[in-house]
Amino acid sequence: MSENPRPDVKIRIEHLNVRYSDGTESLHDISMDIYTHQINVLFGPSGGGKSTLLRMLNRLNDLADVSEQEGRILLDGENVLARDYDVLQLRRRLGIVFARPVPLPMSIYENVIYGLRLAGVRDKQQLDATVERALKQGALWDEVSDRLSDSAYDLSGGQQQRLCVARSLALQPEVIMLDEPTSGLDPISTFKVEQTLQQLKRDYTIVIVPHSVQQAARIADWAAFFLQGDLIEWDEGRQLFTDPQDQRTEDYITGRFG
Amino acid sequence: MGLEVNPVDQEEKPDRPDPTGLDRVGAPMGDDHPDRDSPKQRVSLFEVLMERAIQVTGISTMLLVALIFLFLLWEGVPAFFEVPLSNLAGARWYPIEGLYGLLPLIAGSLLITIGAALLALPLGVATAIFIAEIAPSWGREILKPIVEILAGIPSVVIGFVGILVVAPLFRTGLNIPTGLTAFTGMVLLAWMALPTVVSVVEDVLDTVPKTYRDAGLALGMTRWQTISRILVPAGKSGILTALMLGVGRAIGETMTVMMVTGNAPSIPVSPLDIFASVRTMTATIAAEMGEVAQGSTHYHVLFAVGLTLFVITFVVNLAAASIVFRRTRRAERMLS
Repeated sequence: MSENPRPDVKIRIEHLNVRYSDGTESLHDISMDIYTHQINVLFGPSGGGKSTLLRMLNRLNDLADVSEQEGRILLDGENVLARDYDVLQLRRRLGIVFARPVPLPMSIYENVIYGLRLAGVRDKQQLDATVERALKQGALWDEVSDRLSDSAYDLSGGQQQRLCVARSLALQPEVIMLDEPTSGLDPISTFKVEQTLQQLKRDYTIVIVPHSVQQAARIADWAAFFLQGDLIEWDEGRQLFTDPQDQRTEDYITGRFG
Repeated sequence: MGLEVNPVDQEEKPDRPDPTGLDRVGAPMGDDHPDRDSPKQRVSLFEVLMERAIQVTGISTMLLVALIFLFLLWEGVPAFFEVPLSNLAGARWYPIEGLYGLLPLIAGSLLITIGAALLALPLGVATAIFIAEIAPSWGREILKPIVEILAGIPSVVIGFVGILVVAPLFRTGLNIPTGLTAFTGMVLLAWMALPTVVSVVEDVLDTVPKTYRDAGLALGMTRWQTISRILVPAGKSGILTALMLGVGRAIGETMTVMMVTGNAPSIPVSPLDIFASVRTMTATIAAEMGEVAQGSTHYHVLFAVGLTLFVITFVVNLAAASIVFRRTRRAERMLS
């Protein structure tokens, strides 16, 4: 591990165990931290439990058939897995963007303010301001500012994905989680999304499951390598990608398997 | 090559040397076998026969539908020449006196069908949402087969339950002279249409992409918001289809309505008339067809009633089909 002073902890994961009810163990004994204003990368071969971990963080897994879960996830020191934790509030604090862009069947404008509308915001000025801010932060404003009332389906794949980022940002979350946000995008769109992330980390905490090792190495401030439900190695990105401590990590990032 | 479906060509094959040698490449195993073509030939003949048989069955189905329609026309159209239109459009169905007013029958059918649809739709949609979204998985396993069994109950049994249980209940409960009313028919027809509505709507809800749900939840949606703002709008066309299919089932239903609606051919005028007896087109045909002289005016008018029913059902089915068609087209567009 590196000797630099560590950033502030946003989320602390303590001995997290998750098992789906079909018997497959999906996460075992995960302990790690998510740092504030950093790009925290979770990577590894598919089926490693990265997505499961993301979905545990904002409790989207509540609907899945999880039969057993142990451990704690502390968001600013509070255990979000507690039974009486306000899940709706949690999901507004931890925005998530999925692998495939999911624009809702409505206009660009409506897409961005959807979460606010759900929360009962009606003030037109506030909504307008939010749309502009979120789209600017999502690096989409310049491309769509003159056609906000167009259907979100008219956007390209990369634009749709940035729209989804903007939709999360509209709720002013504290953490933005992205699950392979560039897996369906061309290199230029991917570059734009990655650039956006670099800007966003100043204001937000970012957790991302990248879609390739190269991407992980490009953007990671902190990186965690997952293999079949185990956290193999977790370190500063620079350290982990240049001098991994575990043989399996080295094999994976050098392309010996994966 | 040798697999071409042409029996004549096939029969000549064994005597003819294969000029290209391509056949041998295709079947290297049987290369040195003298009659390697004969089993292949039998298969081809079988293929041809099967193809023809399937063709004949398919065409005969179409022919049958056409014939039924022609038969209806043949027997029904004379009614419009034998009975003046003013009589047919009249408000009194009293065949013995030569009064053949179709209005009460059409009104009775429409009233019961629309009433049944209005009852079945909210109940069916709610049940489907419960099964698909709210019930725990073990509840789903129990509920789905039960709904399907409901679809299999013969209409005469439902009519029986109607006469013995539902009608007396309404008579005493609502304090009306008879329990055999339009309302009784609506309730029982709604019950019959329910399985169709439930299974169609549930299928549609199942096809709403999981990503939509996740996207909604991730924005902080409650369960009710997910249902009302994502699932129901996404499944709107499916719900309309379910309604149309339910209506199609209800309007053609004969046995149950004949047993429970009282069969008095009167036109409902006030809303309270749903608690009076009515008579539907189907019940009229079923009840009277056995007793009329073949070829008489009454006989032809009954066929005209059938013709009217046929047209109405056809229009309803057409509407349902066009909605389904629109949905598939939209689904394709979304996938591309």
